[in-house]
Amino acid sequence: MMKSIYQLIHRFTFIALLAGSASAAPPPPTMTAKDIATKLGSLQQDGSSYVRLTLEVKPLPDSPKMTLQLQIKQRRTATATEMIYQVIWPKARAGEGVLLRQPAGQPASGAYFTPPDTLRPLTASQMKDALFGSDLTFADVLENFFAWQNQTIIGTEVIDRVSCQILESKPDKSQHSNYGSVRTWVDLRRMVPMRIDKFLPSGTLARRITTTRVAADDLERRIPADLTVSAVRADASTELRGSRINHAVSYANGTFTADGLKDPGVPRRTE
Amino acid sequence: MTFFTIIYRGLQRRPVRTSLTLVGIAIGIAAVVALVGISRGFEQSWASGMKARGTDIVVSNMGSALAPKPFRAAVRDAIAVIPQVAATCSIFVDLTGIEDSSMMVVSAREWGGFSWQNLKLVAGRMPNDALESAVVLGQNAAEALKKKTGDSIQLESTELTVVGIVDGGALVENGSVILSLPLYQKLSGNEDKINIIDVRAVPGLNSDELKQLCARINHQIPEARAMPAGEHVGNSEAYRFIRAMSWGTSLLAVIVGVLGVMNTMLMTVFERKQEICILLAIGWKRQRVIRLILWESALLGLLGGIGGVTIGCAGVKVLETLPAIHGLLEPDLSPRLMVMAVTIAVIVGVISGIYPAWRSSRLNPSLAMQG
Amino acid sequence: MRYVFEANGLCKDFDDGRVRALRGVNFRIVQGEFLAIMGPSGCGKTTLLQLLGALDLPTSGSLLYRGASLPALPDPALYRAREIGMVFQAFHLLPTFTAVENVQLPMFETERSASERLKHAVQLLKSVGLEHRLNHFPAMLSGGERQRVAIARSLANNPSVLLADEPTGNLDSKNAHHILDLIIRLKRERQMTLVLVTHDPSIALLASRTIRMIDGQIATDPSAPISP
Repeated sequence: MMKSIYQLIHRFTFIALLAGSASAAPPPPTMTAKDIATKLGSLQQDGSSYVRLTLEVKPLPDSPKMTLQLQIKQRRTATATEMIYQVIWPKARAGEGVLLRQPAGQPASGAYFTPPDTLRPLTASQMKDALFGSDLTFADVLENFFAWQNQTIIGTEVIDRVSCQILESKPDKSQHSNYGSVRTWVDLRRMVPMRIDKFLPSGTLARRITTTRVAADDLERRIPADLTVSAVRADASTELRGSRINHAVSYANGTFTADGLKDPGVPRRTE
Repeated sequence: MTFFTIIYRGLQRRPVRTSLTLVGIAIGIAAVVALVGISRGFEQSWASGMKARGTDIVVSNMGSALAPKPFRAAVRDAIAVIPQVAATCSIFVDLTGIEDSSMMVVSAREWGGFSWQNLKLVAGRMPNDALESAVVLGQNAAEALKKKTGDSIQLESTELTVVGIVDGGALVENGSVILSLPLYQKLSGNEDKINIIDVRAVPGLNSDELKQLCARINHQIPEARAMPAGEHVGNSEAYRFIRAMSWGTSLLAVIVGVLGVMNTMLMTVFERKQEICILLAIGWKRQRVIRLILWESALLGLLGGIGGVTIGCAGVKVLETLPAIHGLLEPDLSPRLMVMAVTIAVIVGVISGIYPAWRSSRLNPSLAMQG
Repeated sequence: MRYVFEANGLCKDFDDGRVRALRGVNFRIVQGEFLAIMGPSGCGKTTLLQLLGALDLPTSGSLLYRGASLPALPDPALYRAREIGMVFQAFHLLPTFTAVENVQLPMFETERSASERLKHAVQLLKSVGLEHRLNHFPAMLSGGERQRVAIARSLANNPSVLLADEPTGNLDSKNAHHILDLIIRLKRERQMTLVLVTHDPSIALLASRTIRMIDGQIATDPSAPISP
């Protein structure tokens, strides 16, 4: 309790002092579902970046919270998504990482590295496994459902005092998703997803991802900075707290390979 | 008996109602004192942090991202040669999750730069050289991270050793993880990049001359913006937001206070209608009745204000002593703020009394003869 | 100036003319006179007293105080404070103030200092026989004592005219007798003009002149005496 108060004040003090608030863009003119999906997709597929975040997983309500410091190296383009998630703390798990790759329109693939030298490829069914014990799967962090063909606006709802359009995305057969549909509550003014609900083909809600803090990134765009993931197991919770994102990076060809996965280094800022 | 006795008796007439109104105002004013005090404290703690570092001017590129935007380290050299610049110190400030804390300030300072000089060792030692894998922790940071000297600390993917705990003389300094700039540049992939330059001007410059020096720096350095120390935070959108929030909340509290006092005073006027008519009948001028009501509401404001300042200060002090918050709040509970809060309360009282006073002045003295 | 008050065709309507309290009243009151106004309830006695005290304005007609129009007074409060003392049937003391404080209330419109106000109030209360009740609140006083305090208050600024509205109406006969004696004694000592509203004929007998009113008009008014 005290710890969380501490963190709250700490975050408030320093984030608020250091963070500015980008002037809000005027609400966009009426956008179609396709426009919104394209815009969000392009914001997500924004090239190379380096992200630092804290992942907090509480597997059971009474169990202790597991905190991981992660770094993400990612290259997201229109043709492919490649990413490496690496644990940098705690020490016992430092270096553990996963390489995920999905060329557009093709099935996803991946490999998991456990130091000192265990590397195992992920099968299609293992892509549904949990990312570092959290409520997100490997496929979740890779999948770009904004690129799916079928996009419709099914309503509006106020989330956290923000009026959001509800965008429903459905995959076609070529898109290899575990989900039957994904609904995204989009704050059109800031172009930020405030909530994402992922439904199984049976219609059951499989996960809910809620944006709990929106911040400006290094390109001064609004992005979800803190997320809460729930609903995989009703009694578990996963929180992601982003602390830094840097787009001024470029990755060598070898980064998103098995060798690259073993390298815990931080990419060099290019500008 | 003086006019003040009459005012005081008016409030004494309904002690419970007067007390409840006072509590209402006091809570409102306590909110003003606490919120404004804390938000001003933030600004001042930055200013005192800068002062502690001996910094007169801060050059940074405070966009809307979490930390100032990095720029070329060579900018420092361009600033160092500007006349009236006595010394410079390059810094890279970052916000990042460290171990089980999701957000910490990392302050990487030019090795040998003047921004190290204010750090007083509380335990351990300073790093031995620019590239020693070592950090020193501000006291609050050490507490938050539960670290002592000799412990290891993971920064990005590099393990470093905590070699010292320092008192930086200001909240921001004490909440930071401090290490040498070249070391952090290397481990964070920010080689040849900095995002803050602390500038020390030649002694004796007044605030106008400092501003002129800032203008000269800004003229020569397009990448970043120079501002007098402390002001850079005060002028940031984020701080303006906090300030607006605290004043906004305070305004709300004040409006509630106004309504409370107005209600009380209107009730007073309605209840004392005949008394007021009697006073008018025995020769009191309408202006005197107006003054009576306004003074009563001003006195309510004054007493509520004094109560509010007391509650606000006590509340902040209690908050400060909580172990979870200890050392993080550095509120500015200056006499100026207290005087301002009491003044606001008195103004609230007077404003709240205007309508009731106007109503009372319109009473017909002939009503005194009825009943 | 010969007349203290002089009224010609004085009318007062209430409720947009639906109630006509005074219907063309004419009278004159000379300095030092003790005028009793008698009549049944609702005949306009109190309304007339209100107009004399500049507590209200007439609807039409003229009303002069020592030759000056009362409705046109630039500062009626000053007139009430300096020239007029008022005694009410229900005493109208302020309950949160002691006897000596109640007496001081009218003095706030004068130049007297706080200590002078207190000294004068004590003297006045002595003159009405209440020196032992100075610091009593109204609730702690009998009806007769309250009216004495009210009389002392009416004299606070040494008025030249005392307007009394049924001053004994709320008192038993013994107290009523004492209060009336007191008022008449003070009137004589201070050479004031006294206008007293009553419906008690025995009180009216003590007056130098009695006006009888019916339905907002003067029914009988013996000619004003040349001297008090």
